[in-house]
Amino acid sequence: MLLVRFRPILLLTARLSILISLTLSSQVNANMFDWLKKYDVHLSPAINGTITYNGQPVTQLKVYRELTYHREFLDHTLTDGEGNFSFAAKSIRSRRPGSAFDTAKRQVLYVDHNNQRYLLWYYSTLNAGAAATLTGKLQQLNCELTQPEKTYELPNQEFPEHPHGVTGVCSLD
Amino acid sequence: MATLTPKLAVQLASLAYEIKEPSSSGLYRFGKSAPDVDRAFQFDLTNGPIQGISGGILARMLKRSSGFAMVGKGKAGYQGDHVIAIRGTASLADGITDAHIGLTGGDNNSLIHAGFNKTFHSMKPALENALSPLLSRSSNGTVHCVGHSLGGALAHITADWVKRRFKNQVFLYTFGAPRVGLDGFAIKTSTNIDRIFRCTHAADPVPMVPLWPFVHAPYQGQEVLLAPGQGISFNAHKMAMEASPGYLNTANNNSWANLQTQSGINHSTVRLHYENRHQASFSGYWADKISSGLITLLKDAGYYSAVMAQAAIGTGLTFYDMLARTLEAVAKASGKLAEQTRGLLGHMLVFARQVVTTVTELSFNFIRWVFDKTLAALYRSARDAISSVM
Repeated sequence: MLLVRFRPILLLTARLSILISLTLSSQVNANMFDWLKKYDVHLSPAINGTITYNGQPVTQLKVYRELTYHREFLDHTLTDGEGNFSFAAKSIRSRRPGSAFDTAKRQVLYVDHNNQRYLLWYYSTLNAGAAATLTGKLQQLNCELTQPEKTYELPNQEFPEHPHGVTGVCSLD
Repeated sequence: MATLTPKLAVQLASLAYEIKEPSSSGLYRFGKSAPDVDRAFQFDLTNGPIQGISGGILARMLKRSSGFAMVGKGKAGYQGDHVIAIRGTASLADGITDAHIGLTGGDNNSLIHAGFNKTFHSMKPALENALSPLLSRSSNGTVHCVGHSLGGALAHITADWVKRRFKNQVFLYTFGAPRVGLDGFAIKTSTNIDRIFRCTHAADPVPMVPLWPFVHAPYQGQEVLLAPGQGISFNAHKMAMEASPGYLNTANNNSWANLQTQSGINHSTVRLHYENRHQASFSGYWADKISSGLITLLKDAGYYSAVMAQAAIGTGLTFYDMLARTLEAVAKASGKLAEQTRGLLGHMLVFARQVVTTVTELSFNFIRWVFDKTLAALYRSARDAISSVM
């Protein structure tokens, strides 16, 4: 009888010790469970820009923003009477930064004008966070569509040894 | 003749991820986001990236293909050279973390992982089309093959094929790549490919799989250890600058001579004693040590060649079923071998972080169960981490 009464306690002790050993062993590899968490992925900062053609503002022009991180996030806006356009910042929550594999993030801005496609901005990275230099450049983009497409090397404030490469017709000097 | 610098190789490997998701505008500027790559190579995207099909049965049934490889032409210091950058894929990960590994005869008549070979063959016609016009006519430049993760495995098979097909000088650069084939494949490709730079982080689990009898190339050669460390961390597999340590950070160097190399595991003689089993832990060091213990046991018992031969011809049994049957027979042969088997299984249970690590019997069923637990410890978490984001 005595044994019977003690048995639940013994069982509980056994369970507790299993639980403790599981907890201890999982602490060793805590980052294994990072994939359960969701992370912020900064797809695009707020963007402001002006589009001109031979110095004249291009009005009512559709500007496309194509953001890719595992899937595409598309939106567009129209330039106003002075050729100005803007986009709000865009972030998502994702489990992917916690996985063992990398996911590329791509930012593309473009316009179609007089049956021609112009690339305003192209940038790609494996980082999920924002890049301060690019956030700064996107606060005022000056895009003269008659300019040739060019690749700019820009300083990377977060990872100084890895300069950014941004390609497009907008002047980034 | 020049090799890619570590910096250039790792950036090319990371840029290959850019082509995974198609762009609905069709505006790719491959290589342009990394100024170093942009100065050394140019990529023609008129026909889009080279497509391939990977993944499980469902993906193959749906013939879901996505951009896998890019071919670039060298300029400046790399004038006349070409680069093939191949990306990894989470969906192929099922292949390396599957205990029921399938083997198949590769193009060079040696045994390789069936999943890698299948993916390579799905992109081979497109590679042939892209490379033939560039390499067929008296091109004597070097072909650099780069890849991270499963892209490294595909780059390895690709490099071997390019060498046999076009006879150019071929260099291979891999980052966190898994083992691709058995010793025959490793030996043949080590000779065939002119230079192999196999870069790892000590805590990256992917180069630890698939387990023996898969081996790395260069066969019994050097690996470039970019970050030392203990234990196993799935973060250690990533490339991103944000990751810790991140291959983009650790390989950011202008010379291979500056980087640390170490000899690949030469399976040394290891006899594991049952009473010492608690010294084992869940780490890359013990994964190798246990593999060595298994090989030593099979050699001591005179079964090693037979097991390798059976693995090579492929039996109806899965490899680990066959291995468990063999160990059951080994344990019956003598008291000494039974004790050595017990030592091996005890270490496996501690490695797999089992609560109970006593070895009570040496039956097929028990041995098979220990194998399952050991493989699961190394494979399961990786698979969960991967499938959670699919």
